[in-house]
Formats: sequence, C-alpha cells, structure tokens
Amino acid sequence: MKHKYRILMLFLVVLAVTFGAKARSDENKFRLKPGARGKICLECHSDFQDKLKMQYVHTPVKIGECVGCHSPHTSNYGKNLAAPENKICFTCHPDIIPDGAKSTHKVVVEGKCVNCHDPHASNQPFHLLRAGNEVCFACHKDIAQQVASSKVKHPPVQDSCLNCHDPHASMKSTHLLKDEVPGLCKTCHQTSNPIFLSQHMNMPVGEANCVMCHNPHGSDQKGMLYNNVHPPVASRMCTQCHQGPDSKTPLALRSPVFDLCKGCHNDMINTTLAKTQVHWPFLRKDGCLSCHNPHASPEKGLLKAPKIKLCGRCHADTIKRQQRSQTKHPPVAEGNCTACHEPHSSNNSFLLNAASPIDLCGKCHDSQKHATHPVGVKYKDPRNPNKTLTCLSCHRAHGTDYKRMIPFPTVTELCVQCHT
Amino acid sequence: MKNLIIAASLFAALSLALPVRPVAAAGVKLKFVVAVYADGKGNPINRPEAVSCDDHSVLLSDSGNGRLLTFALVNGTMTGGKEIKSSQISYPLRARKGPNGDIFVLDGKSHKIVHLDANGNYVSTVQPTGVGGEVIPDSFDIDSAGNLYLVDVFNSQVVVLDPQGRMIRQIPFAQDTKDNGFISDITVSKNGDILIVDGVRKMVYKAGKDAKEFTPFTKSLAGYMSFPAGIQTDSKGTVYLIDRNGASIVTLGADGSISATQLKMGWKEGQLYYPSGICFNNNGEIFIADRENNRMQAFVAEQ
Repeated sequence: MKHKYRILMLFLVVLAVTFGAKARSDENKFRLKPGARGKICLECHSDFQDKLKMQYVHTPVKIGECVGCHSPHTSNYGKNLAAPENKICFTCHPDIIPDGAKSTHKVVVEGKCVNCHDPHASNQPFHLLRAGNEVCFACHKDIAQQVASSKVKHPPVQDSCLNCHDPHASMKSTHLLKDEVPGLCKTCHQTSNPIFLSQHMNMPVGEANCVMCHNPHGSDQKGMLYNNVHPPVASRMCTQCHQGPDSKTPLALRSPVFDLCKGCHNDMINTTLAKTQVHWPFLRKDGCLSCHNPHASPEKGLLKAPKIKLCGRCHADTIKRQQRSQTKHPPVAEGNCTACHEPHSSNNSFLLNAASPIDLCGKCHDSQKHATHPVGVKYKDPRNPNKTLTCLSCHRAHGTDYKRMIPFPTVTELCVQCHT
Repeated sequence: MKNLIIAASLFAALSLALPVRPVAAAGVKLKFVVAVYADGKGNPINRPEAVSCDDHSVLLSDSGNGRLLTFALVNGTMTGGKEIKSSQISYPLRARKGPNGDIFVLDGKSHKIVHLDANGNYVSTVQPTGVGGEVIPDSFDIDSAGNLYLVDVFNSQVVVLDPQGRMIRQIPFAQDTKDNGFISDITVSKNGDILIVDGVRKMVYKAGKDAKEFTPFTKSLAGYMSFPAGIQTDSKGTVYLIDRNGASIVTLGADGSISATQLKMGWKEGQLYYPSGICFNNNGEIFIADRENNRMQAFVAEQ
C-alpha cells in the first residue's frame, strides 16, 4: 500500500514538473525579462500612454499582454498581428456569433470588429469608437437621417439602438432584433390598454406585425405610421377592407384581395387589363399584395420595398447583370425601374413605357448629338430583315459584361456584326 | 446541305424542306435549318410568343400581329404561312391543336381560351365550370383526349378541364411557387404527367397522372438558366426548356438532370433574342418562336 502511494506521488510530481514547465513556457514564450510585460513595447510606442489613461481599456492591453494579439518580431499579417485582422478577435471571443443565430451583423461576420470597437482603449463602454447611437449611425446614415428629421420620435430609438437590437447577432429574430415583433413592441406597449385599443379602432392587433404599418425609427405621420399611408388607414376606416371589431373574425377581409382593390381602383384595373402585356403578379388573386403594402409604407405607391429590391425578387438575373456590368445604367443602378417599365401592363415589349426604344432612350439621351450611327424605322438591321436599328441593336439596357453596355467584348466585334 | 433548305423566298410563298430525323432525345444537338420571317403573302412576323407543332403542321402565334399562322409539313417540306384571325383574339399568347384538329388559343388581352375549328372559324370561348370562381390562365396544354390543362395564375393552380370545359382536377402549385414564383408554361407528357416550369425559381415541377400536388422534378436551374419561359417533352421523356432571358435551350434527362445547353443570344440566324416558345415533332424537327427577333426558326435534332 505504502509502495503504491509512493508511485502515485512520484507520478504527480512528474506531472506537475512537466506541465509547470509548459505553463511557464506559454506564459513567457518570448522570454521577456521579469516585469517587462508590455513595458518594453511602451518604450517605443510611447503614444500608447494616452490610450492607457482612457476610461475603458481592453483587458490584454491593461495587463500588458501586447503579445496576446501582436507578434513582437515578425508576422504574416498587418500590424504584426498574430492572426488575420478579421479573425484575431475571435481567438478570445469565439462565441460572439452564437450557433443558430437568426440574424447576424454583417460587419461582425466579416470580422470587422474595429469598425465599432477600438481594440486598445476608448472612453466609451465596450471600447466603442463613438458614443451611443453614433457608433451605429456611422454606417446606418439613412436611419440616422430619418431619426433626426422625423417629426414623431420613437423614444427608445432616441435613447439607444440597443433597446431593440443586439449589435452582434440575434438568436430570436431578424434584423438583429432582441425579440420577434410584436413581442418586442409589447415589452413597452400594453395591447390590452383601452387607449391602445381605441387608437386601433378596437381591432385586435395585439398579435399583428406592428412594422407593417408603423415605422419603428420614427416618422412624420401621426401614430408613427410610415410616411405613405393608404387612405382608408389614414381615415381610420379599417372596416372598408376588414370585417371589423364586432365580427367573430375581425381581421378577416370582407372579400378577396382583388375585389377589394377593384372597389376603389376599378379604372386603373380596367386600363391595366386592356393592354396586351400584363405583368403576371397583377393577375393573381392576391396579386396587388405581391408588390404593395395595403396599410402604409416608407416607399411611394405603398411599395413593399425599394424598387430594385422589390423587382429583384423575381428579376434577380437582370439585377445581377447590372451589378456585373462594367458600365452602369443610372436608372437601373439607382433602382428606378419605372423610368423605363410600366409595372402593371403595357402594349410594348418588356412592359416598356414607350413603343419605340429610341423614343424611350431619347428621354435621357440625345443620341444624335453623340452618335452618328443611323437608327430608326428607315434602317433595317442587316442581321435580321424583320428588325430595324434601335439603341437596343447595339446596347443592352441592363448592362453586359463589357463596357458601354454592348453585348460583345470589343467595339470591333460589335461593328463587324453588320459591317463585314 | 441539299436536304436542308429549299426556301423559294422568306418573304414570298413559303416552301421549306426539313430533313426527316428520328425524334429528339437527350444528347441531341440542334442544327439550324431556316428562319421564317413572314407569312405566305410576305407580311412580316411580329413578336411571336409561341409555337406548337405535330408531324404535319406548325402553328405559330404571331402575337404582335394578333393572328396565327399555319404551316403544313409534308414529306419534310414546310409550306403555307396561312393567316388565321378572329375578333376574339387580340394577342395570342399560346395556341395548340386539339386531337381533332381544332385550335385553342389563349388570348393575352381577354385572358380567355378561344376555341376555333380546324379552318380557324370561331367556335366558342372556353368557360371553365365547376372550378368555383374565376380562372385566369397564362398558359395551357391539351392532351390526346382533348382535355385542357390550364395554368391558372389567378388561383395558383393547374386546372384540368374536359373538352366541354368541366373541371376534372385542380392541382395547387407548390408552396414555394405560390410564395415567390411564377409558372410560365405547362406541358403534358404522353403518359399523362404534368410538367410546369417556374420561371422565377428556375425549377420544373411534376404531377403524375393521379397526383394531388406538384413535386420538384429538378433542383433550381439557376446558373444554367435565367428565366425559363417554355417547356416541352418528347416521347422518351426528354424535357426541353427555353430560356427567354438567357436565349438558350436547356435539355433535361428523364430524371431531371441537365444534359445540354444550346444556342446563344444574338440577332443572326441560328441565334435567339428573348425566345418564348418551343415545339418539336416525331420527325426531329424543332421550331422556336424567336420573339424579339420577330421570326420563327427551324432546327433539326442531330445525334
């Protein structure tokens, strides 16, 4: 028994010596002189003294562990970092994007932590580069503008974006929201409150998607509705389309979507259907809702999204072609699809809003001033006796892989199509 | 070459010789034969949206002119270019022949299917019954029994009608298509399978003879196609898709795998510019409605 105890003790001593040496090695793998940690670096990086005086200092910096992130001699990465700049933070913060997150912040995924944080020190909590919402608004300028200019403010937004959003990732919702809507909204807004009910015409909207109608970042409309409000909503006439609060199914529609819309937009629908080319979503039973929000929208025409995003849901290949194109066509690049296309119907190819591509292009391009090539109905396309020469004989309006939106790599290859 | 083209004139009386070939199948190569630019009287074709054919005739939807053109195929020679017009047809989107030679036309303006007799005389407008509401088709096909298969875009379903217009079956589109898709065409195979193609999602869906729902026949064909607008099958189960925005023909094997991508964008003969419809017959002859080139092109299948 005594013998066994001695063997066990010996084993433990060997183990302690071995791992102790390893620990010392890890702790001082650069063989720094005693008490030299960090101080040696500061002998040259003297400006760092100011950093160390800041209110919030990154722990490795505070303890002089510069080699936690930097290699003192050589490195394959910028700033002598011990790992790629977009990965170095994850060595200590591996769970910043938890598994199964429903949404993630793009800059975090890309490892661009320094877009928001100072890796050494800052006077802002979490070593943020700027105070409060300013750190978010540095990138989200459109929202900053909206928050600043809106007449009806949402107090939590004025206070902090982090009241509703997680900055790195959200396990519960899209858009980095801390919880799903309406649960998130209901943490402040009591939907059973009589005032709330009255404001919503006693319709049971407690489980509805609040952001269908309300702009959470503030708006110019009463009730923080999006700036473009469908007249029946603005006039509080919910029952024009919905069954109403006295019904067993108060939110149910009074009739199918197409019939409801036709009730007010009959002339437009008749005009649309009188043309030969009808945009197919228009023909669906609930087709209007393919593109329009029936309540309110930040977009003109109550569109569900900016046009480039909305149209791009179905016409992704066309949008991608523009993105690839060496020459950008401004209306396409800006997402102004309706500069050239009728969204509902047209008698022209591609739902164009002019019969002749020459007339359409001529709205912006005075072609005869910069080009002398003949175009028009008098000029047959030598490649095809049923075609006349138009702008589209040489250019593709949504761009190509080549310059000048021509469908061939070089101008010569384009010209010799006809000029052989 | 001598058996390829005998075209007296593309704008005058039409007489085109097409070589007789076995039916098209996977692995075939399309070889250009001739482009047709005009009817039998020399009037130019304008924006043809669709073409259908059998071993003896070709029916072109000359949509921009609001008419149909019929061509006869006799011993490999295409003749005719006869015009069919009807006050009920403003913009023919699709036209198919029924088993007795009658013609059914989907009009893009009225969104109705117009029934004409074999000579092009108006018979009736198809009024679907038993469907339980309005039907708005954006494409259709006919089987050998004369049953109509409508892509009912209004209700996101395929409706099968008997020759009298009575509803036989309703098959809803797959949920993905309902949510964010668009069925651009339909075809019924000889064994009764219904194939529909989703132009937005770039997928083909299939419903067997007695199926109650569509299931994916292919994965997304993104990367191979931009916007499939037409679909046809042959007797061997080969599926042909026409890529309108990508200006090509994609061939699928009977298992839905891609076997070939052919042709390219352009204005010259043998090239396509926003093609919209395709058909082929048992002679291995393939016709394409080359919409934005304002012409019909004929190809033959070469093994």
